[in-house]
Amino acid sequence: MSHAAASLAGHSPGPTAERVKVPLLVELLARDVGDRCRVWADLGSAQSGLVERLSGGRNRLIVADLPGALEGGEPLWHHPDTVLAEKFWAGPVDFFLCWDLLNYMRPEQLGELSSRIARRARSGSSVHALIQYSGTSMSETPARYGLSADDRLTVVPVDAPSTKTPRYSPKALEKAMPELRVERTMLLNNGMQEFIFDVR
Amino acid sequence: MFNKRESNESETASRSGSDHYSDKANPSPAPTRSTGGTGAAATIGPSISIDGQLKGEEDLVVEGRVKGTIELKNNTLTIGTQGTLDAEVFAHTIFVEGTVNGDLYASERISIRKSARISGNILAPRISLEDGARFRGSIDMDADSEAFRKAFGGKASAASSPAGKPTSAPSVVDSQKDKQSQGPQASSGGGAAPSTQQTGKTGSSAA
Repeated sequence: MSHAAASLAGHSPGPTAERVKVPLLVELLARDVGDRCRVWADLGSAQSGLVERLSGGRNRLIVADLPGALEGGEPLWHHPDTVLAEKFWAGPVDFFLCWDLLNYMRPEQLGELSSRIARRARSGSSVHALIQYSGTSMSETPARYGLSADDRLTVVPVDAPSTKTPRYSPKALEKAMPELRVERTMLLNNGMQEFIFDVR
Repeated sequence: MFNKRESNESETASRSGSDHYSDKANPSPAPTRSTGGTGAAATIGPSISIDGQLKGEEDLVVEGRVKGTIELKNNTLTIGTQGTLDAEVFAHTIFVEGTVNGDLYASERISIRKSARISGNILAPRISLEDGARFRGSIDMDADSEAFRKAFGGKASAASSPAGKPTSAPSVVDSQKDKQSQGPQASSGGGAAPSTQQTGKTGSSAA
């Protein structure tokens, strides 16, 4: 068990907890937007590693906590602007972080999400996501993520029954999310594929 | 209504274990400027419910319910595990262990424990959050933001640092100045009547 995995409070990392390199996320975190505040929309749950990383500069982090809405049985859990009230979305967003949430959405839900992202995005903004590509099953509940100081991501699957992975291909994702275009992808060593999308 | 109790930092640390406030980026202890080093803080107990505006010149621990506004611009506010705020808060430093619906502004630091449940905007030059905390809203770490200037003007201790690092840590000298300017009420610590002011309705809750 890694120390970083153990440090994710509230979870007892089992043998499946992993630390993976996420080069595209690291690249995104380093992107310069000039002399203004960078606005991030984290569609996942609040996590210490990301807050710590962003607190070193001019950043605004919007946390929608879609996993909390999913766990709470909210029917529109995939609508960030329904889950999170309008007052929190002041100004356009530069970067959206989806973690593994796209795996839990049906194609029509992906479409609804992408149109909402496009509505909130600043011109030239990017979306980061992790997609299951090799595994045939995943936990019914989205995993917990923790960004470490060494730029690795600790992935802690939630102890829940498993379900089939949709194994979305880049083309299938672009078809389901017409407002997004795949900019880059990278295969990770934990069976996931890392994506950066451009918002059209 | 208000009770004095030991410094919120030391007390909470003993309750919650050694990992409390394990803010890697900011290992220094939180300032206790207002209490003049006496270690005492006013407490709103679990059975207390306040609706209105709270202002003060000393540290405050909330274990009850507060609705309205809290202004402790030179002091530390701790929302304890039993505390529930439906309020807008302006303070020097804010520790959250309980439930908050509303916006939190700190000129120095906000520390969110894993037991916290927050829905609102939080704004401070330095923010730490423990995994397990539930948060929905926005975290503004831009000390140059308009919202920050509106909340604290030029007074914020870290506001002028573009990297969000404090330009000067709260010093003993500052603390002594505060103490002298506040008169005997704020400087006396244990046994003194709290200088926290409250306007509005106060009543016992069913907590």
